[in-house]
Amino acid sequence: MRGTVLRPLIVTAALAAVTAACSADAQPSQSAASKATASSVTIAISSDEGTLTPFTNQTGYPGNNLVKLIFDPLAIVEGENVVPLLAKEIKTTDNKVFTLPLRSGVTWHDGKPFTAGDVAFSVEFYRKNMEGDSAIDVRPIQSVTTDGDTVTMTLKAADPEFPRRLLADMAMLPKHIWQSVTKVGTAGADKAIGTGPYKLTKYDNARGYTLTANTSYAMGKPRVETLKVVVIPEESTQFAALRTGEIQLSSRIVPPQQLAALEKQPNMGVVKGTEFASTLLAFNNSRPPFDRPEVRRALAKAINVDDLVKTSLLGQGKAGNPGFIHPESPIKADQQSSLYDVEAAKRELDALGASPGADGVRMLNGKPMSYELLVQSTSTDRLRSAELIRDMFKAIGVAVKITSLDSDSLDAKVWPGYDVSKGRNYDMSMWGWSAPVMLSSGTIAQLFDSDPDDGSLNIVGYKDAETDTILDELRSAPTMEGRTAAAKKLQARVVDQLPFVTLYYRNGAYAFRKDAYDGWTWQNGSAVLNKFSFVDYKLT
Amino acid sequence: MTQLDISAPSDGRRAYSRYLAGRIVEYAAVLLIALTLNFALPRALPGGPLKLFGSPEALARLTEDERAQIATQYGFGRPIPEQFLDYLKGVVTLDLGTSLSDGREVADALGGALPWTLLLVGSSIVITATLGVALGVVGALRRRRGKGSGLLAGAIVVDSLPQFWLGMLLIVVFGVQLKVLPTFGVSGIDGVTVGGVLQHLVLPVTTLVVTGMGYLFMYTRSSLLTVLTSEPVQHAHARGVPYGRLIRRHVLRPALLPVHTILMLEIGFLAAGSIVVETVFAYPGLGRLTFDAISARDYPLMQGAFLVLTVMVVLMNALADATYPLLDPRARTGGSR
Amino acid sequence: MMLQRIARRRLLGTQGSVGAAILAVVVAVAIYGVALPDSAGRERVAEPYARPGPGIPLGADDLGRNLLEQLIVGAGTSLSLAFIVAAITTAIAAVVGGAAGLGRRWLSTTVMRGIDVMLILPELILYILAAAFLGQSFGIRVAILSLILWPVPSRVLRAAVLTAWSRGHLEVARAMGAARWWLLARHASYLIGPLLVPIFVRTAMRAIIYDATLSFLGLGDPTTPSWGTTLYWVQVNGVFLSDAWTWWALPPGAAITLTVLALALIGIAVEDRLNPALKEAA
Repeated sequence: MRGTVLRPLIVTAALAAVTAACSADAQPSQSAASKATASSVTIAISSDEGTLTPFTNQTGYPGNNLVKLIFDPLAIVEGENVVPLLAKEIKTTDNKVFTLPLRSGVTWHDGKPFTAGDVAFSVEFYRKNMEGDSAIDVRPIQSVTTDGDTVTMTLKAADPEFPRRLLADMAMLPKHIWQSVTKVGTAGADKAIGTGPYKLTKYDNARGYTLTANTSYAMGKPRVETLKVVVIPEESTQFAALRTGEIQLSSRIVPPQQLAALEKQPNMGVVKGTEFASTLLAFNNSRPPFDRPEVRRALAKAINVDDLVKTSLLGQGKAGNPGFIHPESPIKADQQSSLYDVEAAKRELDALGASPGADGVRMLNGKPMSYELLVQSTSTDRLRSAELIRDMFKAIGVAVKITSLDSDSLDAKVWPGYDVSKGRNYDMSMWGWSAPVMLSSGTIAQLFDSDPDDGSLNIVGYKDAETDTILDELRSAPTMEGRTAAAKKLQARVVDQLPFVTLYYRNGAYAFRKDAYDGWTWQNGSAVLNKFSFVDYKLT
Repeated sequence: MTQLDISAPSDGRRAYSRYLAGRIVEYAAVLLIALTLNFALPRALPGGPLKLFGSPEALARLTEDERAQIATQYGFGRPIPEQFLDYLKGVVTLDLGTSLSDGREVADALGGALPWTLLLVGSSIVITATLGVALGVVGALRRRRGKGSGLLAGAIVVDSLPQFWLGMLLIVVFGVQLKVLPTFGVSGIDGVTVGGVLQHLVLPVTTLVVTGMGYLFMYTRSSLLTVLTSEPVQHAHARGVPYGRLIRRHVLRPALLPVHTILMLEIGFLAAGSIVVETVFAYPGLGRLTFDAISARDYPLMQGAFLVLTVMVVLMNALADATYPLLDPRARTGGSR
Repeated sequence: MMLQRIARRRLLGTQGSVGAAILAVVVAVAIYGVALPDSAGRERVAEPYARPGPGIPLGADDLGRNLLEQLIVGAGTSLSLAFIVAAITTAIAAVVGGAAGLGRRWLSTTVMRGIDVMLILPELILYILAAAFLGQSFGIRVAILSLILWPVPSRVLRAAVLTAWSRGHLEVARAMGAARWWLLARHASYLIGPLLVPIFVRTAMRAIIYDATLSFLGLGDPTTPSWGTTLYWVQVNGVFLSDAWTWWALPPGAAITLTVLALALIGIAVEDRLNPALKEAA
């Protein structure tokens, strides 16, 4: 009897010993030969992405990134700049009329030539079909005219960000294939025909995608012949499969706690870079006491964002800029100093007349300062940050009850129907915006505008007339310099009003097998799953 | 007075067919309630399928009219009674509609996942049942030799591990450290081969067997012990019935009746797949499909997956009920023998 | 021969006492945990991922919080969750299973088909609905787990009752005009009673594991301390791939196993006592 009970314990202890031994003798390998080309690379993603057309992928990252391997836009972001891709050049004098001569000799995957007619068709098609994850909002475009191989787009108003925001994002659709499509949300894999460096050759829900190099790609030669994309929902399994070499790249950010161990593995490489996805603490500005800027300011001062980065992310992130905008964003806003000051937070709460009650919780206007904090139960760094914020608020006499919910249930409370005019039902919530929000002043403005139409991302219900004035300036500035100046004003106002607290931006760190392929190239905004990781471009 | 008072002992066959007819009516009622719930519950979930039609940032830009147009075009915005009637019609004509996430026929999506689930969960049930019942019998018969208790302790130890935990442990040990078994998927990257499929089955099946066996073991053992010490068996033993025959005829058959019920239930749940194991091992079965459909708020796919589950469970329950009297004639006639 | 050997055994062997001793220790730890201040296991006392050292015998978690304290505090949550859910479930199973096995035909039919409907309910949706609309308090978690766990044991118990019902001596008693419920209480209970033991043990264990699994599926509350929660964070933090395995992953796993083992050992002892054939022979 005793023997039988003990045996499993001995086995588990032995397993632990094996585990320890194996992680101890893993040495960093210096000798891995450079693998600039490969016949096959397997990439793991976390969920199925549908049929990989601009209307059927399910996520922005990595779904849109995969779509963009099959479809090309007219331009592409390379480093800091927007360079022409399907267009030969991007000509404008006033940021309002854009003349785009097209590259010649480009063909669709089915062999038909790419023409100016396809460009005009694409714009009109996106205008009619607004649903789809990679569908583009083309409403700023007033008209499109074609003249031989040249397309001219005229905007409703001057927009210096037009090339980055639309031209570099709008996947061109083949007219001969898409003109018959009426229900874009259910477009099949046979509609995934683009001009891009890879063709979708196989899609099977059970076993993933096979993308094959487009040998007649006009702009450069793909370095990897076959890309296999497999779906592995569980994070731990993805990294285990990476260690075994069953996959060669995980599309997930390496969890901070596994980074050091993973980097020590032989044959393992990690590409790092700046990510623009943001994590916030949202206050419900339409619910007292969060409707008072002084309360929000005091609470914000209690949050040590550097500690969140150091603890929840183990340093693998950047502390939030108090004015939201990432200093490396193309908007080129200011880096602002941290707000953290516990003593000031206490003083300000005292000044509001919120004195601690018997249990140490402050009373404000006769009500205890005790609030619910919603957090997405699938996001481990947000769960941990929420716990840290609970402790930080406790230190200033504010009680927090954490409620973890699946992301849809949480969205239904914070952003019902993805329509801010439908109101909101929460005190505080952990929140995050994806990278594209940080990349254009137009979307940044949507976070703060008090009008539900112009502020369609204003999930906190923030209302401030002075901010609205600055936003008008930001949106209407015809030059990038003008927009940067307005953005700096906006940042200053946001720090004063604090509709939400910007907590941090996670760093990008993607692990891959060096022994299989190491041509991974970082591109801000799309990480390593971008065309430059697979194609030697000759764009000039 | 219990199950069927009307049956005269001499009239077993007719009684049995009436018994079956009654059951069919009952199960039709269960099916109807289940169908209604399968339709209503998905729609009670917070959120809705709109999110399948764009990123939140993009959806936020849509006007009320544009949202309504999408909802109508893809079906989930039509009046609820109309949708319900359509759904019932679909169930009858076996037209389950199209998935909102990727436009596939729901039947195709289910059909694609079903074989993998049958393979994974089916083979696990067979192994679990064989091992669990066999060990349970040994555990009961050898109860006082220490072996039984050792088995019991062992069963409890392995049984008390959560599946996701054991699965991860197996992946780390056999995949990452020993590098002998693949960690995810149904087959290698390059194609489906028998060897590849079997290799990929080892870890998930082991997880399911190890975490499922303890229950059957303990249950079989208890059931057997009860019968073993019952008066009829003690009498038979006293009468000098040979040991082997005693065990086979007087112990095993009655003792395994409740075990039969459990097994039928397990087979019924087969169609639910195993969400946890399919998630850990990235196995494309019905469990994962259902979970994804729920997360996506894909109403037609959810309805389809629940329908398969409902039909399977009702069928197996009915089968358990129908075969029960055959296995134990006394239960059929309410003991009025 | 074998049967006589069974009969000759003493009733409460060492097994039962060992089980009771283990359970007593675990319960004592849980009670000690309840008495600890609120901050226990919640305060950051060390560096994240600190190894075991003075003051932190089991090291620290990813936020630098005392893992031993979390284990002790978690014992209270996990044990009470397990016991309450198991008690409710077993009681429902006994009553419902008994009613379905012995009751009049309409009652039996209604109950059985009700169980079928319960079995078919998609439980994940129930979890999401409960969390979204009712919250995740301890009471709600107990209720929802009990709701999901009762149908299978009920069905199994009914099968057992039907078997017991047809036993010869029960038929004799019935022929003599004894009431059904009396028959169940007096005679059938010892036949199905032993089956309640694996059901209780199994359900207690299921409750702890379900709690952890819900977090794994993103439907739980991984911020309340419990053994299951610790197992969840073990998995999330990739502890299996580091040597923190021994002090972070093993203790909660061993705690669950020990508890279940103790329950099972006691269960066997109780089973022996409930079994009159054994008692009489003794």
